[in-house]
Amino acid sequence: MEAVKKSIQNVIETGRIGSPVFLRCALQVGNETDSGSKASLLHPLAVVASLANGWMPSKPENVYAQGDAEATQVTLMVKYRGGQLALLSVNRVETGTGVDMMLVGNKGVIYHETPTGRHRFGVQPFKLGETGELTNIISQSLETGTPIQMEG
Amino acid sequence: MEKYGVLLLGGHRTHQENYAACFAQDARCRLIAFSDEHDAPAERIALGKSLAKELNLPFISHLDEALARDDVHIVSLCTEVERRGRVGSKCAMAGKHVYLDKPMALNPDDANQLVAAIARAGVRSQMFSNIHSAWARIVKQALDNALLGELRAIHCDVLFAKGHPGSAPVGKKRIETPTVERYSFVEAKPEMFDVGVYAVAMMNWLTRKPVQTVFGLTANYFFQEHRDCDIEDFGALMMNLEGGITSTIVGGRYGWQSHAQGGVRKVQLVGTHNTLTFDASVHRLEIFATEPAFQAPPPHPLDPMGMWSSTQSEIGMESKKQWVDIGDTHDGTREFGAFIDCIENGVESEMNAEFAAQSVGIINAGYRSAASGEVVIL
Repeated sequence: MEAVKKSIQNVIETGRIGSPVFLRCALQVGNETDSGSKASLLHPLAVVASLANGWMPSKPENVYAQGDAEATQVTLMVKYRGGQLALLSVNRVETGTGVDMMLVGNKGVIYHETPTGRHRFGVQPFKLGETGELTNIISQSLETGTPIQMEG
Repeated sequence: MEKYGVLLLGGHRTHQENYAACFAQDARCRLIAFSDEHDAPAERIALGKSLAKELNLPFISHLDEALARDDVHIVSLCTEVERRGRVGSKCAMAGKHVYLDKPMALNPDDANQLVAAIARAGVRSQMFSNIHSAWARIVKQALDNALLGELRAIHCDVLFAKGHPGSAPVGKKRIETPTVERYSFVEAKPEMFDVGVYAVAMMNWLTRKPVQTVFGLTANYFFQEHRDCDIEDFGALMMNLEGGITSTIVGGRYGWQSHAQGGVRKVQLVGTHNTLTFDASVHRLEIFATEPAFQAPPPHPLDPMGMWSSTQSEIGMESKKQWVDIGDTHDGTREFGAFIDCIENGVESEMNAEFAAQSVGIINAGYRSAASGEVVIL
């Protein structure tokens, strides 16, 4: 994931896509942990939120999450102070972890999808980053079923 | 065997440019004439007359007169969205089957008026959508297949790769209004409605689950034209469907060079057993050759967003050539053929007015949510 993150950041910095305005990101995470138990989807979602926050030119303003982090999927909508938006979803899969994303700028788009099927062995396995953001806010939104307004 | 006479409402710079050709291609149909309300905007009447002339068809100045004709069985309705509820109801009450351009109406009141008239008259109706496209049928098959398990989420993106982006001010937040007062402008349309209706209708058709809550955002990310009209060029909705299914849709217009074809058309189904992704462009050839790369066409003063076939033809628009679809290219034939099949067989369309009206309600709720910042309960 770090390689993808860095590559996209480099493209953003060249100005080719203009100012990022929208991120659609679907992360599929492998179903089981090393211990055989199902891991919560909360941390992967927070990691993807961290990606979005890093690429968007303003701070999160409003966070709304749906789903069940202990079940099949969670989906997050993050509205940013500058009007930008991120739609982020994480779900479990039997196969390896991978991501499908579209980062839209006001002058262009970056599309990226982790190679799948017979192409999946042609790249290093996709490894989720460590750093997550908005974890508590996402939890709060999932618990209350409402959008959470960020302070400040 | 031409069984069904088709009356065409709406002219140049409407989707009638395409729909008239699609009806004409169906051997069961015959184009009869163009018409419009006698007090319709003069420009619209002129555009109707010009397309009628191009197709060598008469233009009947009074809609009542056209609807009184026994040789008219179907009305293809491409008037401005603002008039569709009233005009469509009139056509239905005259006993004509109604083919509806998308979206079928501006708001739930207009949609309900049309639905009620169609029900009272007992005629058939269908709104244009993507559900008869080859890829939509594949998604539907997958959804009906046990492979997916229980559906838990569905995400659908439809974005049009048209227009010249980069002219809207960066970081200027859009202030949405709770209702759409005006839809039809020369230079732009509200894109969460205009393009988002494809995604919403697709999601609705695939799941057949009532939408319970809507949370939305609209934006002016790309085009000064939309900003000048105070309408959005992009919108997204997050919904909760009956059964706890999460759904998100994205609809908008993001620029000629933002995609190798016409834009993203994608559905992701998340089930308890599997996750499946469907991209309408996935079955393709990719061609690289010693030929000029695609160039965005110069903006047509009457169609800077590239909405209409006629205006794009006038500026010598050249289609993108790098990705070439493989296989079925008969989506239009299937869409219009399906409607005629419904009339012939006396059955309801999968996207009849009553069903399509749900999309109008969902999108209108999306505007209310975008304006208030609140979750809207349907």
